[in-house]
Amino acid sequence: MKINPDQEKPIFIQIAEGIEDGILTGAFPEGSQIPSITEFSVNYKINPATALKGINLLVDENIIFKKRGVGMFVSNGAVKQLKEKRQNQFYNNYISNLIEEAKRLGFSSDDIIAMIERGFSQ
Amino acid sequence: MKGIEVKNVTKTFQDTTALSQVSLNLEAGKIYGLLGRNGAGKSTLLNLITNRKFPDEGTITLDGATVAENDALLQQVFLINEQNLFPEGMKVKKAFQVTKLFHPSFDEEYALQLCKKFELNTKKKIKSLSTGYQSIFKNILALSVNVPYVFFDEPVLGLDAYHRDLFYKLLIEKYSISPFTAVISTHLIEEVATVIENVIIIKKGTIIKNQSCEELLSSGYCISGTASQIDSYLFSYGSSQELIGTDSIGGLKTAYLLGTPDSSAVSGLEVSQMDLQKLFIQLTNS
Amino acid sequence: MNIKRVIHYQLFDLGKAFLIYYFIILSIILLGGGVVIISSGNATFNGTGFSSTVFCFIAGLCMFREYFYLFSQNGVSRKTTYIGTLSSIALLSALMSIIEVLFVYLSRLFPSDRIRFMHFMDIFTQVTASSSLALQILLDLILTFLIIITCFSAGYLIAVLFYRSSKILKIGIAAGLPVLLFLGLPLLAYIFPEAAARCGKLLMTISGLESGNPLITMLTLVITAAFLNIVNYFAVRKAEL
Repeated sequence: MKINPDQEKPIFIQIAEGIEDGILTGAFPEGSQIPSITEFSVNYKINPATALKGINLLVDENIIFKKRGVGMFVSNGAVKQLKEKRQNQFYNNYISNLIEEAKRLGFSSDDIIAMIERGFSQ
Repeated sequence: MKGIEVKNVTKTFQDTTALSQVSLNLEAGKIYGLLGRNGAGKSTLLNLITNRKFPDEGTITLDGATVAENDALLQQVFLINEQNLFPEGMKVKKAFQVTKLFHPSFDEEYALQLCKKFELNTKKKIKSLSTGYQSIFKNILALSVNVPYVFFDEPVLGLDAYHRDLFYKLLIEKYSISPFTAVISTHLIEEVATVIENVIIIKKGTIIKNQSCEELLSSGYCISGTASQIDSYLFSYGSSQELIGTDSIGGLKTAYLLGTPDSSAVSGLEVSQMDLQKLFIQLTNS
Repeated sequence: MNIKRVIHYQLFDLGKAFLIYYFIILSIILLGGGVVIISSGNATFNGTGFSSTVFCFIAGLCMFREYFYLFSQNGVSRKTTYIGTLSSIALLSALMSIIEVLFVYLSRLFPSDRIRFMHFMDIFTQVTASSSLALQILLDLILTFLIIITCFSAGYLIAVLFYRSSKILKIGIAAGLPVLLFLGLPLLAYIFPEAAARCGKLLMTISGLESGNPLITMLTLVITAAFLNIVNYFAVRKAEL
């Protein structure tokens, strides 16, 4: 997970997405404990309030839950939930920009489809 | 808890006005960045808050009571700056003991642990330390004193990259475990941008920005394109935004604005967020 | 709370200097006395009086800046610095007074025709001749205390005024004061002998030397010390770092 202060996305969103990535790749398995706010803040040199904000996003979506006095854990079913969320966001996050750039460069939709098929076969 | 309230403070030195009608609030348990160009008035402000100098006008209160000459309140603030106020010949270890005498909350054990981490020899005299290690010594004091309001005036002066990294991490760790108000005045804006929650920008003795870092960063953007594209954008939409600076190279131009970019007008142009340092440079560019 | 801490720090910090001073001074005096006895001569020693006044004045000069800086770093108000310093000075003056009087009067338990340690009360020969030892000791204690605290206060005041002065004023004081004392005053006395004589008489009266009454001396010292410390208060109040 890399926090980039120069990126368009606010840092707390970068934190949330970084943890989501970790859950999807299995770095944070379901039911396991994720590092504390202090650990996140110190590690990435960010303000704990920012880290907390990012984690609370995930808590609100029930991807993470807090156990008082113990720590924060990945909810069961988080992987499925995240995959669905990302699938819904896929078009906006990746396809729109791709099409815009493709149009700029003068590609037709057939050109793009051909490229995608080439990518999948590799 | 009202925190520290600075109201309409003015301070003049001979013929220079260091601060003019400055007002701000410092809440409990937040990390503030105090940014400003050389001579903008940052150090003066910190000196006034901690009773080292007196304002010509205005008041400074902590939880509603005037800070000046109030021992009980003064015990709750702590300032480190480029001045070394310890006696000639005092050793680091003794300095910790003296600080403990006046601040019972000072954690000597923690301070000694930090000395090990920074490789600071406690038997050395403060005056004999290098610039970097004098900064480290003062930072250790400030991190160990455990009072509600701690002011760091240029804490990383002379520190190498490893020590700077260590300092920020220790500050964050301390703050995360037991929150306090930290005000960091620094020129190394990029490094501190993620550490602070709120940012206060001083320009020529007045406060020009005082808000959360997030708000400030999302309030501005830069837009790049050919000179004519940018000029026409500015012409059409410039009035609803605040132009704070422009850069030109060859036929390319970049404009720095506060406001929200008009989504239809920006197609074909490159829009990006300004980072804190760029924002600062443009805002304080006279 | 802070006042106690200020006194605690100052007493510990100065304590070393004081112990060294007394060790040296008393050793010298005893040594001198020993030499006299061995060489079968006669001598009256000045005791510790004069050297202590000089020592305290210089100590007073050192009581401001270093402490002011240190206390300011540690959240101590100027008011507390002032009260604490004044208290430390008073305590030290009392301590010094006791040590000195003890030394002098203990030495007189071994009366000798050939050596005599002098102290402040010996100036008032009429009083010493006609009063009991106990009264003498009491008066000496008070007198010594007042003299020492006045010297301390004078040194402290000069240090504070010096700190608060601009550069020009600093040079003015540093150069001007000695010139005034050693050139200016004698010159004035030469030009206006009558006025000088009257001033001289006034000084003799208020210092109690004219009448031989130590109580007048004490009163003058109390007023002087009080005045010095009042000025001190106003000077410290506005000192900036």
